[in-house]
Amino acid sequence: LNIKDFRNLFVVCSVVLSFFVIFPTLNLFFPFYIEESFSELSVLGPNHMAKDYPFNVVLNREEHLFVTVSNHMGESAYYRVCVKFRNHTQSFPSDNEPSSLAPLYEFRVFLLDGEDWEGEIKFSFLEVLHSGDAVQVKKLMINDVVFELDSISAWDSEYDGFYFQLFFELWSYDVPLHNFDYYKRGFVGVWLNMTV
Amino acid sequence: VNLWFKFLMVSGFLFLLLSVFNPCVFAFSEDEAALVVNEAEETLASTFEAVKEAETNGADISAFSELLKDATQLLSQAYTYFRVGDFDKAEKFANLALEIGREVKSIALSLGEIKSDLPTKEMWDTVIGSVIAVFVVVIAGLLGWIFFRRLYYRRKSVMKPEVASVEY
Repeated sequence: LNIKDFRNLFVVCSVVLSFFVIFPTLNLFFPFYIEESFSELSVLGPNHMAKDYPFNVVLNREEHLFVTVSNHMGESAYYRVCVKFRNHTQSFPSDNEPSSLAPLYEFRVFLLDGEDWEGEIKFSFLEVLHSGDAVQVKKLMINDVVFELDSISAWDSEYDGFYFQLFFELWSYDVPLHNFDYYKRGFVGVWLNMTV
Repeated sequence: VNLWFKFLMVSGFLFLLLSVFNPCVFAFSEDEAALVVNEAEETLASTFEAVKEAETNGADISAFSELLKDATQLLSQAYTYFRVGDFDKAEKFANLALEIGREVKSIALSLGEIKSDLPTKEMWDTVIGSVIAVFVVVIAGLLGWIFFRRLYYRRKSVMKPEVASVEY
């Protein structure tokens, strides 16, 4: 290598390095790299962590959960989090369709881009009827509001329990639609075993 | 006089009776509450649309985002109480949401009208950061090159065979 080759090498290195540092500015005016936009819905246990979820539930005992929503859409967003309750035979949301059950409780959340929100769910079963191999939930209290239900669960011999599910659906406001739209794959839930 | 006294007594009693049942008289029906809740729902939806437009036009919406958060929270409470049949509370929360929603909407609309072509602070930070970084790279490259060239020629001169004249 002679001095001219070394000079060329220096020039090439400087140009490449300059391109890397000017990339964010170029991307502002000629966006050739677009960040993936998404929203997040998660459910956390009573210690704000993804563990220690309530599972074996009893009458009149208060349980705690936290539901969180994060906005990574690159713009502000208006969300609706529906809290629903079902037995294992009732409608459950799929990737594209929400559950057909009516929400019991709901949160409305407005978030700026990059913001997170956390809501507390305190729930307890106030009235449960046990008849043979079935359990019927009549009253469920969520955040101090009592909801009357009629949800029956038969004994599950495979998993030994009377199972119900408390689940959350994420809906986001769609401006062209002028309405809330179910967010694809926007559901999370916890299974509860009603012990009598 | 006696008759007038009796009339006044009966009127007073009826007035007291009416005040006892006053909350029932002014309680909201399901339809009335539904009307207010729907109005709040529509207002907050249109408020959000106005906020989005203002945001698209480059307005700083963080100043009133807390107000909108409060309004959305109040609306969710209104829905919850409506579902359990507490129409008074549903109406109360919906009205509060409606009030805040209208306030935020008027601010957002006024901001949305002014289409700002000015770059945002974040944009300025990126541009200035990039310019400084390019400047640093160019200067570092130039200085590096000068240093390297000196070193190169110094080494070259050391390695160069010495030419000496030899006399026979």
